[in-house]
Amino acid sequence: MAKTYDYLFKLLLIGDSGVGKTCILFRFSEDAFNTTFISTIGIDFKIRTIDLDGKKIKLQIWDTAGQERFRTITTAYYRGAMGIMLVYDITNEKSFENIKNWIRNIEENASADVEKMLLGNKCELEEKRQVSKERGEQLAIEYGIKFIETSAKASIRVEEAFYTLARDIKAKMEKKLVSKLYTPRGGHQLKASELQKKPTSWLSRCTIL
Amino acid sequence: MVDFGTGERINRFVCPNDRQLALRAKLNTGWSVKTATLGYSHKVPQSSPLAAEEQEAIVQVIQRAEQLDMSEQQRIGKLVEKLDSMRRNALGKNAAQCLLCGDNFGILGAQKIVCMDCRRLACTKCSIDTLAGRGPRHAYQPQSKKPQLLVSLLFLTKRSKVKVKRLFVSSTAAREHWLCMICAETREMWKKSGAWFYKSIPKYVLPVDNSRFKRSKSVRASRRYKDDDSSSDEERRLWGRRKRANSSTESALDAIEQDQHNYHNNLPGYNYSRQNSSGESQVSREMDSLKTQVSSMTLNETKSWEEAGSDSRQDMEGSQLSRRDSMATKSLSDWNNWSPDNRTEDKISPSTSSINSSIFKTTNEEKAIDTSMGVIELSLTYDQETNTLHCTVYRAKNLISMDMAGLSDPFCKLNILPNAKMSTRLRTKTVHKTRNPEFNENLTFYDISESDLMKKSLHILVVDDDKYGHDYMGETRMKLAKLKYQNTIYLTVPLENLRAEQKGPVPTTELTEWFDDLWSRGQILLGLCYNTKKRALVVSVVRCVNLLPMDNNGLSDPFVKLQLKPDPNHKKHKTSIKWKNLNPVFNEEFAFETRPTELSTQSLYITVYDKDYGKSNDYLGGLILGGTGSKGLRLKHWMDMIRYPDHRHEQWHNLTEDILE
Repeated sequence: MAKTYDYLFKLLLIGDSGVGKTCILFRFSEDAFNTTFISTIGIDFKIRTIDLDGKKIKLQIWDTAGQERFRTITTAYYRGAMGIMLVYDITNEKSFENIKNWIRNIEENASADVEKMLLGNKCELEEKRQVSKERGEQLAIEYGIKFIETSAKASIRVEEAFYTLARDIKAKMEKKLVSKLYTPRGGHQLKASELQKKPTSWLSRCTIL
Repeated sequence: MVDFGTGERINRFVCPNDRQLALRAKLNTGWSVKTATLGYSHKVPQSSPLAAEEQEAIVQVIQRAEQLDMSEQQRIGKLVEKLDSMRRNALGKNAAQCLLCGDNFGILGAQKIVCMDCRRLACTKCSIDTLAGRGPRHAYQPQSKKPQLLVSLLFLTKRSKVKVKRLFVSSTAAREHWLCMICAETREMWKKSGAWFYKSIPKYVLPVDNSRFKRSKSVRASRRYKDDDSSSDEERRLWGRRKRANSSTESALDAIEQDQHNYHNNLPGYNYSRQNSSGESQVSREMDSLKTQVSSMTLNETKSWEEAGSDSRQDMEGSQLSRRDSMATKSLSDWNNWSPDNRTEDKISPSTSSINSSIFKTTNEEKAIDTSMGVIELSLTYDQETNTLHCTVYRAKNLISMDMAGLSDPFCKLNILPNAKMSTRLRTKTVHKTRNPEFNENLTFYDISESDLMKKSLHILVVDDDKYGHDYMGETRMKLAKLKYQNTIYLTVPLENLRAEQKGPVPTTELTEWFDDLWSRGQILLGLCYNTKKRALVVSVVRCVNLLPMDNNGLSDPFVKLQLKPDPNHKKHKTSIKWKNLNPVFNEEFAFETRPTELSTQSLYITVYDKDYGKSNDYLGGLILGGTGSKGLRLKHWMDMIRYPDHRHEQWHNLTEDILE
């Protein structure tokens, strides 16, 4: 048996063309960087197994093409994703503005439980910055998601971003299992009373009839 | 940045003017930057169909994803197996014994706890303290539990400052958080399999000792392990390939071939790899010869096909049905649709093309092909005089089983793709209760021109006949171009499982058309959960979609009735009425008291009615889950519910028009 892992998380990177999705992924999976711009063809994925709280988590990270002509195929991958990273380029105002469209895209296509995160990439290009960090934070707060400024080129906080997202998904998973087991208890009482009521009403009706 | 925006700030709801449109037409950028990013892309005619190498790249990614999926399914299968064996090996016989190890409880014996999930008794060695396990927890080493308990007790004493007597109370309270190993393992499986996210256990493959498939499986396995531990070298190759692809398309194709070569040669099992790579090169030769046809295709056709595809896609998105579809398979089916012409895909995708080559060449490669879905035998004859295509379906063998008895009721649906018109869809009769049906049926497609032959492919879908909708049993696709040179061909084709993760009966885009007639009654999303504490089956009616309109206003006033049969309590449940709604959301839960042992003989009757005053309610549709008649997904849903109590299993089901009594 090759590498074993405890959990498999499926992540997705979306954002405008050229914001550096592929580079972020390349940095994370291979710890390398490539300056030439190669537009992603449709979709691609990479795998990296990380260690989180003693659990091995295999991340299957889907990289999508930002270009519109691949939109049909890329949206098909939203649904299975447990976590989505919205990437914009801090030196490109437009890519930041488009984030809300991407969020809308997520709302339309992804599972409601999906964990989201906002990444402002290329933060090493401070002199060309068009989107301030505060605006990024503001937007993230607006949508209630986490925000990190990264740089794939200078390898700044890329790991952190993925680990944070994976940790959030893991936390959600634990919470879900616990709440599933606790709410039946809290909700159990409610339900029990509800259920007791229902049969009696039904029974009483039955006896009248 | 490759942002095709014109740089102008345009209000997103304002239509661009003619000049802008003309400019964008020149730049091939679609309507506007705004609409482009609004997610309306499916309405925008695609500016350029994908190039062959792009398609190939995508197909390869999808295949890679499929391999990963396959390994994941096997992994989940192992988890399921482990849990099952754990259950089988439980020794406890009565309440005085630990459920798992069978040790007697007592002062000197094992310390007893109540599992918070199943409420059964187990000893501390066979259970886990979930509170202590909150932090970083390694495997379930029973010996590590006792110190943890002590720690938690100490902690409790310190905090609450209670006397020893009270301490016992709090310690029993702490025991509320204990889980028996089986329930802990179930929870763990729920997490590991991703069921927590997809809301039911994903498709899995149980580890089997079937010597017939061992070979291909082990090859697949080794392939995936290779895949597993390296993004590294393979990815690097991909990366390199793409760089080259940028520089020149010719070399990119070469690189891909080279890539495949390397890929297979790296495999253990030299035999297989050699066969396969030779097959691949044959395929690529075939590819070249047919490349010309691809380019001859008119753009017009591409568009109509795409539009048809995207429309139905939209429908599906609207109803948000296949929530749990895994990424890969969904994309694959999507890809089928979205691909401008399916024939190129046939040529490119190694999986399909290897099948094609085996059909036409009948080489010894066949053993490398996965025949686990069964094979189908047929012959095709093209009559040039009358422009008709005669297709004779003889038989199918070794189909997958659908019902509890291990049998199926298969029939075949045949279609000429692309351009699925009503008239091009044909079906065979249903052969009941068999996995090796003899059809011996001749089906004729009319108005098939010679040019059609070159462009189109025959799609055969094998489905299980059932009144709740037709479960998927496999499919195959073959291009008809061969018929041009040869009037009659006899084929034995293995069926493929392109929709391995097709969990709901809800068809993927392409299938929607097929099943329009059958699924006119709509679908229902049901959650089943056997609650061991309450000893009751909890049924949650989540929502219905695509119900029939019954009232004059073109809507219905639906409600759902539930009944478990046979039920000693004779309990019936009804949801509230959702007025004027064809896609009602109920989110209501109902409990039926029953024993787990009885569940396998009981059936749940679900009926949907339209509320009417002054006259009897109209019947909208019904469904029976469980019992002996259940098949396919309905059977799986019911069995999952029995096998994994205390977990909610959600599943879409079709409603039938048959009136259930």
